[in-house]
Amino acid sequence: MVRLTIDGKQITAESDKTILEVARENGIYIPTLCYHPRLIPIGSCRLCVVEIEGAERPMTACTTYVQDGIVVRTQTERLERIRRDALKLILLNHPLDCPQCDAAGACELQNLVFEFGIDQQEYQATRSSKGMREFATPLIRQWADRCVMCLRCIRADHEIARAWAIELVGKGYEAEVGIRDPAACISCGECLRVCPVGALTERVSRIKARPWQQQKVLTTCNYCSLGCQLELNIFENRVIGVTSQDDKGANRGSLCVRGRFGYDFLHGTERITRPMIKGAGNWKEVPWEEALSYVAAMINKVILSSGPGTVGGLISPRCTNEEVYLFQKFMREVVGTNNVDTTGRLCLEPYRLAIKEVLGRDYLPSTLDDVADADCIVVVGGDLDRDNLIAANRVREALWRKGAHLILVHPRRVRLAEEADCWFCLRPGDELVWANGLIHLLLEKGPEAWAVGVEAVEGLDALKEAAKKFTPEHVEELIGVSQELLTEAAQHLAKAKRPAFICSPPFGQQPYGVDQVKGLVNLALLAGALTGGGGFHFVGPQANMVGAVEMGATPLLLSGYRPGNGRGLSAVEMFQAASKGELKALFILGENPLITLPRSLVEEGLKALELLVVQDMFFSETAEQAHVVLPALSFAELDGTYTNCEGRVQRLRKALEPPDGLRWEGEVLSDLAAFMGKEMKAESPAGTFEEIRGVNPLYGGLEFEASDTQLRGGGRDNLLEKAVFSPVGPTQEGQEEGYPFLLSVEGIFYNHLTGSGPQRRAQGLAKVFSYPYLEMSAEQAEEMGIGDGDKVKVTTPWGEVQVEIRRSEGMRKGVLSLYLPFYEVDASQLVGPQLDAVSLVPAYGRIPARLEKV
Amino acid sequence: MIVPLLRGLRLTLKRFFSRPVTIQYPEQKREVAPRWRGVHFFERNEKGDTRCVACGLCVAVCPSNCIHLVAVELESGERYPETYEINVTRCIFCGFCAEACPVNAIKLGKNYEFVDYRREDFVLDKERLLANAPKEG
Ligand code: SF4
Ligand code: SF4
Ligand code: SF4
Ligand code: SF4
Ligand code: SF4
Ligand code: FES
Repeated sequence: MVRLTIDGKQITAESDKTILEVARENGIYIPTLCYHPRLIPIGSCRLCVVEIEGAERPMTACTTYVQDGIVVRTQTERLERIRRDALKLILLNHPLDCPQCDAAGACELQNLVFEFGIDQQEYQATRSSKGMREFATPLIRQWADRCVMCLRCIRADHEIARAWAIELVGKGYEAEVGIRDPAACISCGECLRVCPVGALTERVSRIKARPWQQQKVLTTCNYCSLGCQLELNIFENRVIGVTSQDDKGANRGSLCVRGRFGYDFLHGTERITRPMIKGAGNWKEVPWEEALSYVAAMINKVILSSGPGTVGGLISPRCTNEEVYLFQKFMREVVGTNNVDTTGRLCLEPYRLAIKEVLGRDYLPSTLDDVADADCIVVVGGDLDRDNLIAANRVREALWRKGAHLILVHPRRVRLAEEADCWFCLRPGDELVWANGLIHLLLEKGPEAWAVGVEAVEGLDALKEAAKKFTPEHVEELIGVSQELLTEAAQHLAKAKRPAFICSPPFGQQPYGVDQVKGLVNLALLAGALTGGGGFHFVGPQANMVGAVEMGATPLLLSGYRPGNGRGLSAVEMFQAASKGELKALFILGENPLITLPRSLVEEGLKALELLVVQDMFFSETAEQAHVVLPALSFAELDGTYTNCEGRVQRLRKALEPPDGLRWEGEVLSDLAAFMGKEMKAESPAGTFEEIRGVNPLYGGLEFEASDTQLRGGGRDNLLEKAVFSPVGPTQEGQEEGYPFLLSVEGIFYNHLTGSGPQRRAQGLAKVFSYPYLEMSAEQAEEMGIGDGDKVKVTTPWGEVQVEIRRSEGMRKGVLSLYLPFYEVDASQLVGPQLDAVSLVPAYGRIPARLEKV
Repeated sequence: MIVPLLRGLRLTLKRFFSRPVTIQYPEQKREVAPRWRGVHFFERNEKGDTRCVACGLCVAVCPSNCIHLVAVELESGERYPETYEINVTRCIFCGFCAEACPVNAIKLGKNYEFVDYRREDFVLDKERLLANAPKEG
């Protein structure tokens, strides 16, 4: 702590802060242009100059750290002159085309020029106009003339995204922001967000509006489970852009390409706006009452003839907590069945069960901030950069700002592999052996390598016993990992004080998925991630994956992870039952099982159903098979909450008026209940949240109208209280005869309900996301004579698809990864109908496959 | 009593023989003052389209909120008014819009004859604003 004086005000501050930061915290205004709170200051614009008593020359406040006893003045005549001159010099090269500029009205330069009362370009320069340019990504336009050379974009690209897609080119007066490598650009829009002027502009929305014509509605991203806070910019009931605030949510202003540019599906064509009933193969639009009374009569008929156990419900993990809660309540109380599930559970369950077994609880309270503070990070599973960019960026923050070590497990040389200290290029399914190998090495090192308090944890001896045989030699033999690398990783983990673990699907969605995750949780517990460390995190692809499960959309548990009275059918089982005639009616809200669940099974099941009701925004593949189709609201059209992967309960706020005749799900369900002769009240999202608070102990203390995000119940204390090491031996499955490859399907849960199916309604994303492709080791492709872009046929025991090959340097041989940004290939037919015995999740990873050139 | 009457009659007689001030509208039309603010029109650019760059300043300044603008960005990056409508029944002909326009696109013309039967016809869209431009020469 130091004491200093700024403008006569006595201030006590932490010594690692700059004068600017301290001044801002204390409400003292200093103009800035090149400074951005998320970036390392470079002190180039000289607008933030301040005078320090005793110092001859003024200093830039953004780069000068506070010192004890200094006396700072921020407003003097000399400073005013310096600032004015600095601004006039910037204006020298500025085109003054505000009327034509997207930023006008929200431009930091405009504001400064106005504040300093500069009303003309005093200095003149001749400069040729550069006009608009293609940028590193097609989603952003560059206007080099308007650039004020603050370098915020380049710093954001290098410091936050760490993509090195853009850099400074040219020297001196000719220097400008240039493109280094468009292929490196991940279209995250971080550069766009920090640009203080209109030198970078958004290219997705054709319609533009000035700040005073728009409303900005703070809401939660509806793509992945990180739930970034973002603002929808609304003009005349249309979203025309997305902005973000530095101080809101876990993302602190950062967004990925989907959050920032993936909003235009909201205005996609062919939105369903009327309930429809299929009669004689034709769709007929009907009023709500008619559709609902028809559905009610049909459900009642099924219940009467074959019991409530023959009705099922499937809800999307992109529905709000309130919708999910009411949906499962409808199923349980009105219909009287536990047959309710969500694909969110298919991602979350392996992880939850593993945690449950090792730690005796259903969820963990760690936040991503813990990751940024970690000193050793283990990442296992999907490609974080592609699936959950903000989590990847937090990892990077720890790596290069705090000097943390990264241990990565992934079969492809993903972007993080370049930055990892130890990259384990494993086949999917080998993670358990790998974790056991590390456990072996850690145990060998003795207690100083373990977490504090771990010695008292039950089951340590059993763990020792189980890990005994996983010597580095044995691990190398089993999974082909070099002994040195394994020893190095163990070294990092042993030294780490605050290790963090992050995993994501398809890890866990494979045969013996729960055991695989358990192996990792054992390791995390031993290494100390769960006791004062960086935590054990699970990030997934669906916005309300965690919330959907916590609201009770699972066949096993009620809202709040409370055990239910008996077990219902899980998602896949419902279709199995349907094809056997044991399930007769199915209500699907926002899901598209034909795309996301084992295809052959779903097709058969759908055909056998007596009643299929699909409620969705757009006509999905599944909706086409339905008997009744109901319209649904988009995430921008309703109030509600999502629970993200950290357990943050975050608000969705209504930003758009829905098309005429669309209704909130609560009203639909309570009407449906009424037509069935039952009562289920649902007044409003706020009222439902109130009800959830009463029922679900985790949500007890939360507010619906909270201005910020709130962490739901459960502290980090006594995490070890119920902990028991749960050693798992090898569950190695042999390679299947005739199928020499192991295939993982990635991206299958990305986009559903967001209308970005093959129709590519998210046109902005369609510009940067390619068509589906199959990645394989470049070396192996060479051997097999398969070139980049060649069409191949992938066959699994359950189906086959044709898809383009992309050769991937450094990828593990024998592994295939099918990436589906949109659903142009029917990957779901490759997925087998077998379920993991414990988690009831089909295998999306480690599918036996073979490959032929076509 | 009679004197004031005669005085009045003198004025009447004088007017009787001077030039009449009444204008025979609509046969005759009066030249308006140079700064007269009549019905709006759009100036054209080199391409013959409106010069407006959809900056939104006229919308912001208009005290009666009668300008409706939907700005779009063309593929070339230029801003363009996809919809531009002035509801003349609400306009108070203050001329602020013309004053605010940075590219001199919207102007108030000399025309003051503007009658119609339906309210909708008093909404000037882009086409009508372009057509309202005074003829050259
Ligand atoms: S960047 Fe700002 S100052 Fe420059 S033309 Fe655009 S609005 Fe005006
Ligand atoms: S969009 Fe992201 S990756 Fe691309 S240049 Fe900007 S900051 Fe870099
Ligand atoms: S493009 Fe924007 S952020 Fe980048 S240097 Fe220029 S003004 Fe700064
Ligand atoms: S003349 Fe005045 S009232 Fe009429 S449109 Fe222009 S600014 Fe608005
Ligand atoms: S008429 Fe002029 S002020 Fe109005 S939007 Fe067009 S350019 Fe801007
Ligand atoms: S803000 Fe400090 S020099 Fe630019």
